[in-house]
Amino acid sequence: MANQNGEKYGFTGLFPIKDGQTAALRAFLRTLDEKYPRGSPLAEVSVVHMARFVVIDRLAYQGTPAKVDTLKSNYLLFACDFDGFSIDVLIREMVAHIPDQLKTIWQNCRGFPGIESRDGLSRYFEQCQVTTNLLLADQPDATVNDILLGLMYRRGLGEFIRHVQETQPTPAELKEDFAKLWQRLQEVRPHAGDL
Amino acid sequence: MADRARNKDGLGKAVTFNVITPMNRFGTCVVRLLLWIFDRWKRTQNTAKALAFLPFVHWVVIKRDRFPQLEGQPAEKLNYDYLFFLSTFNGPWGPYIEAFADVLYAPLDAVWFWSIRYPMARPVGPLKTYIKRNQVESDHSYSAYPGASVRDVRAGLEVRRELEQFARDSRDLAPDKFATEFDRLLMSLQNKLGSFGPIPK
Repeated sequence: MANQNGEKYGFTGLFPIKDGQTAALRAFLRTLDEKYPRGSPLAEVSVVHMARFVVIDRLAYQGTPAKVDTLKSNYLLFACDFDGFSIDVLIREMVAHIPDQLKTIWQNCRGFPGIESRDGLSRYFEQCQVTTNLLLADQPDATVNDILLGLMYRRGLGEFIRHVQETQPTPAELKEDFAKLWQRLQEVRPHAGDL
Repeated sequence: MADRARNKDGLGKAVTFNVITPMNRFGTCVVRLLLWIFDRWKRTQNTAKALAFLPFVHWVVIKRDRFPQLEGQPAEKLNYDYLFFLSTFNGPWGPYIEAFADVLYAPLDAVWFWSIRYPMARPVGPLKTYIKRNQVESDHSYSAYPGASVRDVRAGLEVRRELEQFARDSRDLAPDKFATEFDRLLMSLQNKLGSFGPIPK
């Protein structure tokens, strides 16, 4: 069960890249952070904590007397930590929120079945999945939403304290101002990638 | 800077770190057993957690004949199995490796010892050279909270818990008593209120 730690699933997948597509895929991946205001299309997938894409096109040689290993295919390594208990959760969310980006990335990989069948896509991800032998998570039971809210509360309280120091309110005003802060914190919901 | 997640305000604090090292068959068996033990007994992860700069780490062992092979794809013929170490850390590269070598040298050596030509964690110079040789840069990195370090996240969760409790408990207090309780709240949270955010452009 090492793919799982608490409420979090750590997916690691190696997707063989189609011949001749490596450079195009790498170039596309390298533009993502500039293209999206929150740094990645994955900001639209609310269950994802962290993710990385790595094109693997060589294995390092360790020097004599080690042997040289040469890959016959290049691979797209996709590692993703998300809230859930199976890859189906991630697939469902990606298909719902970033279908075009999902297609643009994985159509460079062999065997990509398209996004029309979610079951087919889940099977494809499972085929390319490699078991995570050890998944370490600092906060295994906190969801993305829990963490974003925590950070927002922390920022909100910090600003409130500055306001209190500047205005020196009476106890009655302090209570009233705090009620307004509390109301604001209940209404605002931070978006992934904002903080 | 594809190793670092970013948002609209700048580069984030979390940096992805990928190291892929070859192992022989015997080493693979030992490493899988060790990782199983570390996974099964979470207390063995306490020292790594105490460092407070690792939001996530994936250790993955792939045997030489277990690379995913889809229809029409030639089978890999490799001399070694491979160990993937995929972590995310906060802070600069050098101190990260040094902290690892200083504090986590025992579990690190136990796992990486089986990788071909691993120099051991101490002294740290050869370790850094070894990591540089085997490190692979990410082509895209994402974090849902790029401006927050592990400590920021921990503090945020605690602030929220205490603030919710305070809001519930103080609703019906008289203003004077409310002000006293608010001061008490600030004293308990004073070390958790620092600012956070991405590195500005």
